[in-house]
Amino acid sequence: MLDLDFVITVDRTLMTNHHGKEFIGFMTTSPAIGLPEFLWMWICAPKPKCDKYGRPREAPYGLRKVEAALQEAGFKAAVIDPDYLDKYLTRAKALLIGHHDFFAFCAPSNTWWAVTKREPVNRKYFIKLMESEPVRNFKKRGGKIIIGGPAAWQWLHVEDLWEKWGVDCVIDGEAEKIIVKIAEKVLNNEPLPRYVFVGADEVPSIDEIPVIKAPSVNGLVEIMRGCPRHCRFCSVTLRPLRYIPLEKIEAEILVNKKHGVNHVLLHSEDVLLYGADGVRPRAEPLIKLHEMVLKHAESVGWAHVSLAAVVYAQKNGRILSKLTEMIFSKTGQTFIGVQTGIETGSPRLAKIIMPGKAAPYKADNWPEIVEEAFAIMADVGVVPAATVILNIPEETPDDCMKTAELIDRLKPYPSLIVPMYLVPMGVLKDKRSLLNFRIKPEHIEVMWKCLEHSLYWAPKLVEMYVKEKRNFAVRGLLSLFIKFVEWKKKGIEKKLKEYLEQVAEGALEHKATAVEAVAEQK
Amino acid sequence: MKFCAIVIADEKCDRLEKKLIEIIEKLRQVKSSYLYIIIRGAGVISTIPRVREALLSNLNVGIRLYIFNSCQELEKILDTSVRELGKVDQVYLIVDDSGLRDSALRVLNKLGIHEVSLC
Repeated sequence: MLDLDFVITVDRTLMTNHHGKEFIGFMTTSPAIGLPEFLWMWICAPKPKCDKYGRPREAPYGLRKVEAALQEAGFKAAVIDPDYLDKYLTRAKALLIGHHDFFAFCAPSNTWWAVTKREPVNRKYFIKLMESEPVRNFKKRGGKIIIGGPAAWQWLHVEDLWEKWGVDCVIDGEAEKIIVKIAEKVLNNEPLPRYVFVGADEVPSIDEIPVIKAPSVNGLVEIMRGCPRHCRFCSVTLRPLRYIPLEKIEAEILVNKKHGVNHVLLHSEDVLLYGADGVRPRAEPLIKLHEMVLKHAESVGWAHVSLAAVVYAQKNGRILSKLTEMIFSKTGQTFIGVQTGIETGSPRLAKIIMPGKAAPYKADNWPEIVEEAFAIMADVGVVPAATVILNIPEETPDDCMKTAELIDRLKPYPSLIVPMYLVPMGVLKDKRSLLNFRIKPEHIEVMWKCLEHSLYWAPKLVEMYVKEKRNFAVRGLLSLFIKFVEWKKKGIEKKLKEYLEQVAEGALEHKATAVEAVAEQK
Repeated sequence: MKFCAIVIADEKCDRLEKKLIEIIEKLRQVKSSYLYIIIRGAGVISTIPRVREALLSNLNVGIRLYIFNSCQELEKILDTSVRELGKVDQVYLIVDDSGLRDSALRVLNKLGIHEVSLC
């Protein structure tokens, strides 16, 4: 085994490559539906290939960054698959765990949890990891547990679990610089802060962001950090905007390629804003980026694009067409899947919570921008998985109706639309009551529209997305799941009136809890 | 130029959360600011509910939260904190217990910090 002081890991729902299909990863935010849990987990979170030391071939990008930062600073650190923890935790000094949704408080986990009244598998498997024998024994012998990642804020709501599991330090913010100082404290036996919020000077500059040393899940590489749109519900927008230089992006692609990961998933809050002039996409940096990527990649994906950027890019030099033509002609791909945010169909609400989301256009025209962007994407072969947000503090039933109407108008365009309950992040993050919410009748209306839209397109998209022969079993099970949801929908349709009455009476209340929920499961 | 502040507090103090929110709000106006919150408390299970809203109200201040139970622990935490920060521009005490206040002032004096705001 390796001699490690710092073991970096996460539970199975994230330590996986989702069969090479990152969008299947969304299934880890839900409880198993229509299938036994072991099959559900096999579809969405199969165990990754590991070497003889328990190092996974691919690991979540955030864990790889922390691993790189610690290794570059000279620490004995590595990402280890959770099934191998017993081999290391008898000697390691600290266990580092990063996650993007420890307790299923984030969307869409909170939505599936509220609707199904069952605990999502991401939460279930994280709790299982923390209560596993190797982790409990590690704590008993005085090992330090350090937590981080984009969901670090959730720990401020679960002090009971924080205490129960003996978590020593929670790091909230970009960790590449601060983790080195914390690691020094661990080795010097100095007191650890119980909670760290990474300050302005501790956010790494471009030069201080290390290049990953081993492959990331599905070849994900970051091309920029931060976002200039300043939506009130988003935490990314609080970070300084940085564009990762091409050489650094290429170096990471080569790390992935060296280990046989030939897909490149470009990650940014808005891929089209790479090298942009504010919120106006520019052709030159985007084309240079894709020329470089296509020298190495067998296939290319984009993590996120914003809808206003889609419209602007296409109207100003047909940038989107040029990029997709480049990708499709070089790789043989026929489409690109991408995540995007509709959030609301109400211009009134858009102006309040996300005035910059429509920029450089006016928030008053937000529904038209959404429709135009969907039409453009359908034309050029980009398939969005879009979100709408429910339970925004200023939301009225009329706003929800406008969202429902917009979803109707998006029917002709291949896409998935997923409803999400607002998560108190960004400048709204002190609104703790939003972790507990009530499903309202107008929310049911929006959710129903989303379900109808997504069920209309899902069978076709599964055929496109999971077309490889090797994935026939995954494809079959996904189709089975879709059929189950269709069948369930028909059943609910009849009972919808009764359901709406329950909702109106407040029977569908969601309480995101910590220890009580854990105790309930046992 | 960064601005560095330390708060020494008692989780039992009634005005703890309100004062912390005020201090964080003040520091949020400074471009680069750090706040080390050092609290006497029984552990996260009792301390976090006392500071939660204050921590969640923060958007840009670099924060460290320490919990201590004994004077020796306070001394060790203060010693490493002052070393880490390099300089301390402001110290706040949110403490009602005179014993704790005297201990904190003694440790601060030892570290060469004589200016303290009692909140």
